[in-house]
Amino acid sequence: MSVLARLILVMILGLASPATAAGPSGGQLLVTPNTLTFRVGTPPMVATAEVTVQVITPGRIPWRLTVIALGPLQSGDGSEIPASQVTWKGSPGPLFVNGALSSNHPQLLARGEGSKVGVVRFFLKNRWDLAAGRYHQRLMFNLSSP
Amino acid sequence: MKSKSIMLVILALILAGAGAAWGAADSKNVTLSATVSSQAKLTLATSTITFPDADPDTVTSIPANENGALVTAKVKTGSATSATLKVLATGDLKSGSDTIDINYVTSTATNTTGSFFLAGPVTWSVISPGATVGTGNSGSFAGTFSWFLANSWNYATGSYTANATYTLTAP
Repeated sequence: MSVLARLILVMILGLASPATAAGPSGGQLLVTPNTLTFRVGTPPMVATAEVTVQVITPGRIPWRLTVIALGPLQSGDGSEIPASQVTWKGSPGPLFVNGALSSNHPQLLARGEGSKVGVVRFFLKNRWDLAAGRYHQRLMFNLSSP
Repeated sequence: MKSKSIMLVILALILAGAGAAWGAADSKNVTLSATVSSQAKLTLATSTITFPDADPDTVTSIPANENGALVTAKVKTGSATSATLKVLATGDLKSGSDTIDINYVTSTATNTTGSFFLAGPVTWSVISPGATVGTGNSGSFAGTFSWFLANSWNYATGSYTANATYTLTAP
């Protein structure tokens, strides 16, 4: 292989490698707002909160979007609400699907091709046995392409 | 020529690989918050308790006509605190100038859902904050209440009344 050929090869590899990393180069995920707040009233009234999800991709690249809770909802005094107590309804269907959060496995939230926008409404099951407190947890939305 | 062909093949392979890698990939974190406020909700199937007349020799403790009344207590409280249900009488049983000490009234409870109500017997009191008839953490509880009046030949005849308030508190 000539020096020129090697140089071209290095340049090609240099160009190709950034696309393998997560980021806007291959697709972009926007989730707004970045804070979901449930105001839990008197049972059986269900607490709701929603986010708008926007997937931006060049062309008609197929993608799938998952969400995982990074643990149960936790309060300052150690009380917990299992992530599975939070369910969601995604629209428009069938692009966006309904589901329940898990802190163990990413759950499919949407699957499609090209740029799309959807709304995900989350519901927290409201029960009398919830301990009073302020709970927090993070959700990770992950966009990937096969 | 041969090296050029090899280069083209390599180039094609690299581009093909790069093309496959040009997939969508991104992630975002969202903070989830929930505020659960303290709440208390109490229901009692009766607001009147009536003790019938009875012979002290045969009935030493008079059961109220409403015994077995359903009671529900629904509470949300902090994990480090307990909700309480108390009963506080505003005074003794009175009939004109005659009185029967409110301490002669007791109540018992049976839990049917959960374990919140104290079996008793609990003696009623006029001393604030009253007698505790239930305690527990967050939950929806159900049970039944019964009331009893100690019978005595010493009571003056008459129709006696008193008021009492049940208060469910979730700190």
